[in-house]
Amino acid sequence: MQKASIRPADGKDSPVSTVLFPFHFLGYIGAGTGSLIIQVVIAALVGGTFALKLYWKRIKAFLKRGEEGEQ
Amino acid sequence: MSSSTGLVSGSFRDPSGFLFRQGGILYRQVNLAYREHYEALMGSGLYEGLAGAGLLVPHEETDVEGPRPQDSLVVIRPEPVPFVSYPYEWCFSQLKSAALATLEIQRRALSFGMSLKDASAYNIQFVRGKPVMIDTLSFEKYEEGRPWIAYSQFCRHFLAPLMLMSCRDIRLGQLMRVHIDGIPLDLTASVLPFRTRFRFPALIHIHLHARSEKRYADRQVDMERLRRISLHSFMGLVDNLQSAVRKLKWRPAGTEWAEYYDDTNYSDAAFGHKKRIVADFLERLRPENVWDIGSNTGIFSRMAALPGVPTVSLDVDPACVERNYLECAKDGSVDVLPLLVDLFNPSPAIGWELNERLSILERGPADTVLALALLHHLLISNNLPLGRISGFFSRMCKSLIIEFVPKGDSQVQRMLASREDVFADYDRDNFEKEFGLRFEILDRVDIESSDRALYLMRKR
Repeated sequence: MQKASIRPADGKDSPVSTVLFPFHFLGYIGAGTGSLIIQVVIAALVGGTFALKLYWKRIKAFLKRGEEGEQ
Repeated sequence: MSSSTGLVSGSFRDPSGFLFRQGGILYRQVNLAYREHYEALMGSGLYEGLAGAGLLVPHEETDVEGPRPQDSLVVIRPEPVPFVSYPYEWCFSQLKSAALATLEIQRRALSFGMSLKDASAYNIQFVRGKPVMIDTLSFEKYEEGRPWIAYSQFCRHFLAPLMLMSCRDIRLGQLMRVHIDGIPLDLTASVLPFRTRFRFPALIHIHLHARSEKRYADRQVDMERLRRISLHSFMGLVDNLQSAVRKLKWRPAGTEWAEYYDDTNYSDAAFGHKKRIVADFLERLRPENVWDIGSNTGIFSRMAALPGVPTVSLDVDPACVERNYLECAKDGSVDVLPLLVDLFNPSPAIGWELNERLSILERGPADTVLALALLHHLLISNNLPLGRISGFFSRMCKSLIIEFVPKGDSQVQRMLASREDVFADYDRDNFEKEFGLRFEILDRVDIESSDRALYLMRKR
């Protein structure tokens, strides 16, 4: 496991900003802790809708193929 | 702008490589530290896919030695961009297109096992009318579970200005000029109308995002306790951002495009004659490139660009630039680049050492400047003496096609109606005298059925 430092929004490194994360994921632009946390929440929320959207597209494509086959 | 070592001044943040100029050609050194990611980009098929789709600038690998050979993996030569522009110079639809291009690149990158490590609006340039990613080193190998590092940057560079422009006021796009790394989300959240809290994309990507950034700004957080983001959810996030951006619209309040622009100062005959004179002047000059300043909706820019001449079309009115961009996209005028620039306060040099983003003058000079129906606006609206105007133009171009609008013109009279006439020296003789100091007047043609005249000048 890699110990990494997240820079706070003001860009200064501080002891409280040292966190643990299972990846070496911090880019050179500084991702921001709060942004990463909300991103995890948003991704979980929209991931479900995205799955529904994909399935709906597949169902539509299947029905369309069926209609074309009948014609 | 390049330093004495050839390094491009705005290219210093990313340790993966940097831009430099040698013999007038722009190169990018790819550093050894970026090897794994560069090889993945080139070997996975992602580069071919993106470059083929016109989403990523194509490049060639060269044998050129970069300024720091000890760090160098390879030196590449990207295809040149005809004119570098910045997000605060783009109209609403240009910024929207750039945002959608960035997301499409990210979507494709994910399907090739890669991800964008930054999502800066400055990484996008308009080439032949289309938004193109110019930073070849923005890609990194994707690690399953890992969040999108550039999510916050994408929101600050694209979503925030687009939402402010769409939901509050188009002029707020200019905040990008003040905030070089994108508009802070807390500022965006405080300026957006209250109703945006009830719109899902604005609620999550701006309001809650801003609140989360504030809450965790200086706190210790055990990120292990957070769930990983699956690839599927990551794709969902990108898809959600794409849909949020697509839904954002802007139109000038209370108007229809068709009626927004109505320059009625010319009769059809006079306007037709003006077009013929400009076409003749351009034919005589055969310029390498043109800046049409005060271009309005870009009628003359399109004329200048017709033979394939790169033409930058500058105007101060966001609605005119928007219409210009949409019309160019519709009629395939790919050599016109409409930009939002206020000549009274043109884009300055900004960023670190005032060298990161260049002023509009540093990106010139243009071969030819068109300044049509503009002189009276500069003179009367901004109280600019003729000498100052000719001085500015002489720094901007080698040749000039300029329209003289006399004081008796009905539009000038309208402008003078509500103010004191302090422009005693505003006449044709003084105009020729002042401009003649810096330019050689090659030709002058009076426009039929009008008091106006067009001049063809070359810088002395």
